[in-house]
Amino acid sequence: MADITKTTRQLKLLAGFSDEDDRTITLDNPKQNITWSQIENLATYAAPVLIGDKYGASFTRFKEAKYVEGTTIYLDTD
Amino acid sequence: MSKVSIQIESTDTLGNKKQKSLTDINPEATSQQIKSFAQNLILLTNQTYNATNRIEKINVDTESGKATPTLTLDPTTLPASSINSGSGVEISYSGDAELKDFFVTFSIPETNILAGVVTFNNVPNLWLKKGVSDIAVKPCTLTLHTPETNNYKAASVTFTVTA
Repeated sequence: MADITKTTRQLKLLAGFSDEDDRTITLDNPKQNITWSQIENLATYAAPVLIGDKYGASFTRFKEAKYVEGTTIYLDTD
Repeated sequence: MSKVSIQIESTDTLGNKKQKSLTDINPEATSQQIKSFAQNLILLTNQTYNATNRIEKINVDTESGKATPTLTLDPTTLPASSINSGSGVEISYSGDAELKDFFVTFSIPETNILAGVVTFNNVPNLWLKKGVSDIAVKPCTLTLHTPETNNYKAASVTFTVTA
């Protein structure tokens, strides 16, 4: 039996705040082929909800969105 | 000031329950705004949205945003004999002049102590005096209280009358 390879994928969104204290929101199991316009759409819902973690600064926009993939290789136990 | 976080519950394609926590949520955000954000966030995943819980972390020392004033008495104790003709105990407290209502409670009944607060030159004094003239003042503990105000929680301080 060969080694088993599993890949994981996460969507990482960089949220920007008015005090420049950005933070990353990570989503597991994201859909494929997410477009930037979908991220911008999410930003309109994020604006009244997210605040900065230092001084409660207001959310400005998502600066970046990226898929981050990880590969795990389980060694063959035979 | 309370800190608000949310927990978004969803189910994946295998039927497993998933939970996503997000901190630093605007305390003024409405439930509808939070729900819309959570639903749209889950829409970017392969999960199905179930529910969102809003969690508030409240510091019990500053609950409701009110501070606890510190009441201090000077002196903190007097012998019963000095109360016979009347003794003033100076009251000081942290916070501003909002504290104007004071009341006194006693540890035992029939102490024969007349207690009230009088203010001299803007300094409040707990004034203690013998009540009925032919009855002795009893040693006891008395507590000076201030009730809750707009900006301060209720507070109290004790005073000891010794034998």
